Amino acid sequence: MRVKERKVVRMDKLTLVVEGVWATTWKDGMERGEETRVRAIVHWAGEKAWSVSCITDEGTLSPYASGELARQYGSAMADRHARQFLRWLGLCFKDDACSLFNSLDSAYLFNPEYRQRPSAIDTCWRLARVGVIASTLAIVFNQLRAAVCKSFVFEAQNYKRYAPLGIFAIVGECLRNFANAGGKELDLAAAFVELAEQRLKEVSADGVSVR
Amino acid sequence: MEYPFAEKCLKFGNLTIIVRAQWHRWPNCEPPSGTTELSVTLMHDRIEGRIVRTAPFRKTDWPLRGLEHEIPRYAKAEAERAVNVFLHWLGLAMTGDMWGLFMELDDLYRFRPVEGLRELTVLDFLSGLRDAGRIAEPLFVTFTHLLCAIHEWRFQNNSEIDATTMRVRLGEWLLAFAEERDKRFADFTPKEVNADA
Repeated sequence: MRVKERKVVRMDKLTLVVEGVWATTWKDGMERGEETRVRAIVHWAGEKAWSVSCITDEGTLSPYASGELARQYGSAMADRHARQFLRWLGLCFKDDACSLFNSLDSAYLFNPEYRQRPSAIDTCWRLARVGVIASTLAIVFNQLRAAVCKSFVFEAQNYKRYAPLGIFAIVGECLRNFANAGGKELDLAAAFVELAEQRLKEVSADGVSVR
Repeated sequence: MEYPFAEKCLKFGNLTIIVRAQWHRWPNCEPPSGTTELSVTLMHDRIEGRIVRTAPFRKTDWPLRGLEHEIPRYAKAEAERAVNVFLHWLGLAMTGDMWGLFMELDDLYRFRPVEGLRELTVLDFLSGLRDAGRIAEPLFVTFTHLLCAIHEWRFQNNSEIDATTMRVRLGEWLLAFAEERDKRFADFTPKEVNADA
C-alpha cells in the first residue's frame, strides 16, 4: 500500500511540491514494514522538474495492516511528515539553527546529551538518518530562498518597505502557519504580503516608524 | 594526478575490515583544494561478496596556494589522519563512549549550535550535520558487522566471555591501533577462549 499527501508552495517562478509518501515495505513476499518518505519536487517555470527525497521514518508494520484503516493511517503519517518538513523549512528561513537542531533532535534523538546510556548503534544510525534529512532540507531551502530573492519582494520599492521586518523571517512564519493550518496549497507571495502588511500595521499602531 | 592513499586493515574472527583514505584535488581549482574520501571495505571469510561504504571525510578549506610541491606530502598526511580518526571513532563507538564520539564529530563538522558560543547559520548547521551523517553511515555499518563478528566468534568457540566485555576490549584495542602510526595490520581475534584464561 502506498499513500501520498501533497503540499504545494508557489513563489514567483518556482513551484515546490512537498510530498509525504507512506508505503508498506515488502520482504520475502510479505508485507513486513512501513516507511515514510518526504519528496520535494522543484519546478522552475520553463525548466524540467527535479526532486530530492529522504526517508523520514521507518519501522515495523503498524497493527492496521490493510484496508481502509491502513489507508487513513498512512495518509495521516504522510501528511504529518510533509508538514514537519515545511515547519523545518520555516525554521531555516528564520535562520534559527538552535531551534532546528532541537526540533530535529526531538524527532530523531541523535544527540546523546541528557540521554541515559545511549547506544552506539542507535546514535550512529540516527545521525546517519538525520544527515540525509539535513541535506534534503538544505537543497530545498536554497531553491526556495533563490525564488524569494528573484521575486517582487526584492524589487527596490518593496525591499525598502519590507526589509526592516526581516523578509526571510516572515517567509519562515508563512511556511510555519501553512504547515500548522494543514492546507494543501500556499501562494507564498500573497501570504507574505498579507503577513508583512499586518506586521506593518501592528508596528505603526505601536507608534514606531518603519522606513 | 593520483595522490598517495593511506590504508589500515584489521581482522576479527571471520571479518576483515580495510579502512582506506585518499585526498583528491578538485579539478581546475585555484587555490588548490580538495576532499579526503574515506572508504571502508568489509569482507567475511567464506562469503565472496564484499561490502564497501564510501564517505567524504572532510574538505580542505584552507588554501594551499603557492605550496604545489607540498601537496603530495599534505595529501598523504591528510589520508593517514582520516584513517586513524575513523578507527578512533570506531573505537569510541565500541567502548560505548557516545558522548565522546558525538563531541569529536562535532569538533570536526561543527553542527551543534551553542548559544552565545557558536552561533551557526542554518546553512552551516545543515551542511555540518549532513557531513556528520555521511561519515556516521560507514561507522554504523562497520560497527554492526563487528558486533556480529563478536557474536559469531563466541558461538564458534563456545566462549564464556561476555559479548559486552569483548566489545569494550575490542574498542580499547582499536583506540590503541588508531594511535599507532606505522602499524598497518592488526588481528584482534582473541587467542584465549574461556573467561578464566
